This record gives sequence, structure tokens and C-alpha cells, in this order.
Amino acid sequence: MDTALDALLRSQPALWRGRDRYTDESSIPTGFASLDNALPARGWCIGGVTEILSSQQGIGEVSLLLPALSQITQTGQWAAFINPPYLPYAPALSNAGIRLDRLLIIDTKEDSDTLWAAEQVLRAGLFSSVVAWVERSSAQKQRRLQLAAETGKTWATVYRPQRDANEHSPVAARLQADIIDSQLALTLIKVRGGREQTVIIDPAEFDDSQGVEWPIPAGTVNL
Amino acid sequence: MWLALYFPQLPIDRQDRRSADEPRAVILSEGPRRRVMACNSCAEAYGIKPGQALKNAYALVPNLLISDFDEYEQAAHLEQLTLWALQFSSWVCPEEPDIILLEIAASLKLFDGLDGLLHQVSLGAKEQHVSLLMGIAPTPKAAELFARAGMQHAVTDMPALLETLSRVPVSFLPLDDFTLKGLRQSGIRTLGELRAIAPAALTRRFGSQCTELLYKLDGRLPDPKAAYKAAETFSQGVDLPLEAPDTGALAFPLNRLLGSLGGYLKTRDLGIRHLDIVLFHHKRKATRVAIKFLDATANIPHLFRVATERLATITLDAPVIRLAIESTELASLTREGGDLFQKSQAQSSSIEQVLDKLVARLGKDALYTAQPGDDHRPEKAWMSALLEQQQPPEQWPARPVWLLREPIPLSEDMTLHTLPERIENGWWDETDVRRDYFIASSKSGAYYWVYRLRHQSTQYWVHGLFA
Repeated sequence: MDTALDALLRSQPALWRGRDRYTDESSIPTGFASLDNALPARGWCIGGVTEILSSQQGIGEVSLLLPALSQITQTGQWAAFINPPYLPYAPALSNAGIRLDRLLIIDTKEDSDTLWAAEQVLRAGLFSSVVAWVERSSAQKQRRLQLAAETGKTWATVYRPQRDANEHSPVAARLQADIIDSQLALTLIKVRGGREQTVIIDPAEFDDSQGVEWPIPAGTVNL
Repeated sequence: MWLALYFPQLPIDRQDRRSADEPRAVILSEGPRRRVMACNSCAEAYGIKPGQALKNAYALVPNLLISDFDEYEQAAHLEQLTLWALQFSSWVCPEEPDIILLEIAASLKLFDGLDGLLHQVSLGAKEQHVSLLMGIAPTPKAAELFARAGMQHAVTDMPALLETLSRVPVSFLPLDDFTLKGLRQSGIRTLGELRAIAPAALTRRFGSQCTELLYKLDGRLPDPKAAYKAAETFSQGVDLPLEAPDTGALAFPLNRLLGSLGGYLKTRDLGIRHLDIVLFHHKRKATRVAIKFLDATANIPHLFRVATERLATITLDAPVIRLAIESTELASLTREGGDLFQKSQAQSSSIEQVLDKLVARLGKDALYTAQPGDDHRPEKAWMSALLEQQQPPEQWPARPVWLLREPIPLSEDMTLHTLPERIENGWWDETDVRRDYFIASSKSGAYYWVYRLRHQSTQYWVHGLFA
């Protein structure tokens, strides 16, 4: 049935199928098999913004990007962190295989500067990955970033607080990160050409990027 | 072969083009008489002509905006245009008050022939907002004459030169009024008629300067021109015709100054690293705006963008009356192959340009890369470095992605997951560290990097997040 339907659809050139467009787009493998499968581009979408709305910090929401960042920087391409909430800790990044001299960190004082810097860097198209942390944004501002990422053909990631999950945002993909049963659960709120689903990342998959074996044995000391 | 650039509207050209819709004129005072020296097209539409008495001009346009002609300022403008013109030829001679001569035979190949060169020159003049007439001839005097007479077609060989010269009206010759009057009264209208007179008779009737001029025009008398030599440092300024209340109004003079900076950098084959923009105020200390670049650059559109971006962040205490640019540090340009960065081939801007733009708005300290330090103390195992050579990677034990700048005391209950990792170092300097580090998780499932001091085992501190 599938093939007959496919043949019928293919015979209609005027028919546009949502999923088609983005499976052709180039992407960077995330390094997590389950996440790659769930994303229609089979990886982080190049030329689009991925929003990550994390319920809290310290649940592996940044480690999610490390395998792809490692791949990018090892080939000599540039990546940028704009307004990271804490110091990006060099030993951890180096453990994850990231070439630190290809990871530019840009500190900004306010969201307007963050968005401006992100747009500049995205539009230039010289960076292969741009990661920005914003406190407050709007659909209009996110749209500017999405357009800049499309212009510069850059993989862009924007971290936003989870309270903005219900706001409309015209970006390529939106992921909500939570902890469920001490595992990182990613809910794909919106993915172009994909469907809403939840992906569970097994903690063991973080081994390489954090240099420690997860899940780490439960401790004995309770504070 | 010589190219003469004639700037017929130089006194009025230094005014901002955005005010083109109001009538303006530049006035020359000769004792008590005040005459219109130049006017913009708007004033011309009202019937104002150069040479008109100011009284008559006011009668035509009561709201005419006038400014006095400033000889010094015009000379400075001509020098700036000379610097700008240096990008087209290495042999450039300014002829006051409004002519620049360029020897172009050596430049033709670089600019793809004469048409390519003329196109670039007129494009540049448009960017500089100056009106321009050009003349091309084998001798500098003839080129100058053709430019003044508005004969723009190129005359490249001697027969054509003699033929064209004979058609030029004598009134365009740079002679004094008395001689011109004598010529007119003798019924001599064109240069051809003048050349028909025997030289001895010509000298007797109109003086030796007339004969000398004729000989220089057709090359019978040598006419050596000394090439303009650019100074060791670039320092040029513009008096603003009207006070600028905010930095937005500075774009026009800034563009002009950067245009001459471009020519200057080209002729010296240098790039700029550190540039000072000086804003002069009336009876106040000048504001200096320093712009530093990571890499020497000679890209003028880029310089202009960075400078306007930077100026936009400044609030002025007082209106600006003069704008100047000084080169504080020049450096040779590094020319790199295009394939240094994989993505950069198709891009028009380079990574340095993007970084410069960011630095201009966010400050130099805002950009850095992380670098593991040669120390095991967490505070010291992190360093910032600006795009410098990195140390080879080193394998560390489990470390969090985020490090807190200042550790904070732990307030909620946590589960410790690992055996203590003792980090003990630094008795030789101020940050003496004796700590036991653990990976801990909170009830909500976040992982932290916490420590306790060796001699104070009850208080835990959070120092990082496994984000």
C-alpha cells in the first residue's frame, strides 16, 4: 500500500510534502542514535535554529551538543558560545574532544546584545555552530535568528527558559529538556517535517562527552 | 598619459548631501564686496549663479543659507582627495585650488584599461560625494585644460592632441584677465587661431607666459610634476559646516575621511590596526574614540561599518564642530589564502571582520576562548585566551561543563555519587586549595560538582554543573 501511495504522490509534482524538504537538508549527526532517528533531518538541522527549553540546569542539556561540537571543531570549523550562563569549563570541553581554539566565547551584558551578536555571527556564515543563551526573546526576534541561520547556513542553538514553551516561535525545531526517572527526556515540541514525540537519552550515552561513566553508582552519603 | 581630476564644486561639496533640498551657497569676501562663489543645485534652480553679488542672491532667495569660503579648509579637502586618488596611481600631484593630476599610463593594466580606470574613479568620486570633471591628454597642462573645458573624451596621442587643442576656446586658458581681454579684443577665439601666430610675435604681444603655456600644452616644453608624498602617519580632519548635535550626523564627513585613508593605506601598502576618531567640541576637551582591530585591515567599507557602529554607542556632551582621524598604529597586511576556514570560500566577509564588529560593540574583553591551564585547581585550570595557540589536549577526570566563577554554599539536600577526589595545591600562592570534590545530584535530577574543605567537613560548596 505504501509503495502504491508513494508512487501516486511522486507522480504529482505540484504536491508538496512537508517531510521531503527537510530530509534533503544537510545536518550534523547529534551523536545520540535515538535523537538522530527522531529528527527528520537525521541530526541537528544546518540552516535553522533549534530551541532548547530546559527545565533546570545541570541535567545534561549542554552535553547534548558536545558530540556535534567536537566533530565540527576537530575539522577546523568555528563554533561560538554567546552569553553562556557560567564559565565554559575548559577541562570538560577538552574531555569531550572539542578543539578549544575553535570555540569562541562571547560574553554579553543583556539579551539585546546576545541576539544582536548571534544574528551577526549567524549571518556571516563563517561559524558552523552558534549556541546562544537568552533570557527573554520574542517570536519576532526568534524569527530574525532563524532567517539569519538560513542565510548563513549555520546550525544554531538557542537556550531559553522553559516558561516560554507555550509561546509561538518560528524556528526549525523546539526541544524541551526534562529529567524523567533520572534520565534526560527530550520532548520535540515542534520539528519541521517531524512529529511531536519524546526521546529518552540513556545516561550511558554521555560517557564520552563528560568523561565519566553514567549512570554513576548511587552514593551512600546523604547530606 | 595624464588624467586631470577637476572638482568644479569643491567649496560646496564639503557640505552634507542630505541637506541638498535647501538652497546653500559659499560666499567669497573681497573687501566689502561679497560674491557667491559656489552654490548647490537647489540654489541654482532659484537662479543663483556663481559670481553673483550676495545682495542679489538674497533678493532671489531670502532663506539662502550661506557659509564663508575657507581657503585652508579647501586646501585640506584637496589634500584628502589627493590621498584618496593615490589608490589609482603612484604619481599624483595636487594643483591648488581644485585640480589633481594623475599619471595613469602605469595604472592601465591594473584597472583593466582606461575605461575600467575611469569607471573606478567616477565611482569613487560618487562615494566621496564630490562632483568631478575629467580630462585625459599626453601632457599634464592639456589634461587640466580639457577637464576645465569639460572635454571628457580621452585624447591619447599627439596628432589627436594637436587637433583637439585647436578647438578649445581661449577663455579656458589659465591666463590673467588682462591677457584674456587682449586676446578677445584681437579677435582670437580658439587655441588654433592662437597657435597660428608666430611665437616671437605672440611673446611680444601677450608676454612670455602665454607662449610658455602653449608650449607646455603640446609638449614642446617639459612640464615636470613632483609626485605627492604621503606622510608617515595619517592625520586628517574636517571642519563641519554645521555643528553636529549627535554622532548620526557624522557619517558624511567620516565617509570622506575614510575614503582618503583608503587611498593612503593603498599607497603605503599597509593596513590599520589602531585608529583614533577625534571629535572636537567648542571650548571643550575633544572626545577621542579609539578603534582597535585584531588584524590590520585596509577594507574601507568594513572600517566605515565598525566606526559608525562604535560612534552610535557614544552619547555626546556637546555638539561636534570638527572630526578628525588619526592612525595610531599601522601594520603590514597579512594576505591569506581563502581556504583557511572550510565555510569561508563563499563568504564575502572574513572571520576577522565579524570579530571586529563584535568587539566594536561588546568590548575587547567580551570575546575569548577557554583554555585549560597547567594547574589542577579548578580556578586555575581555566584560562581565557584570545585566539592564541592552544596547548595539546590533556585527559582530565570527570569535569562539569559549567564552572561557577565563585563557588556558592550548598543549601539543598544532595546525593553524593563518587568517592572524594582530592585537589590540593597552591600553598605557594594566595589561593591555597585543599578540597574534596564529589559529583552530587539533587532531588530534581540535576548533577553538580560539589566540594568540601578538608578541615571543614560539614559545609559543601557547589562549584560546577554537569549541564
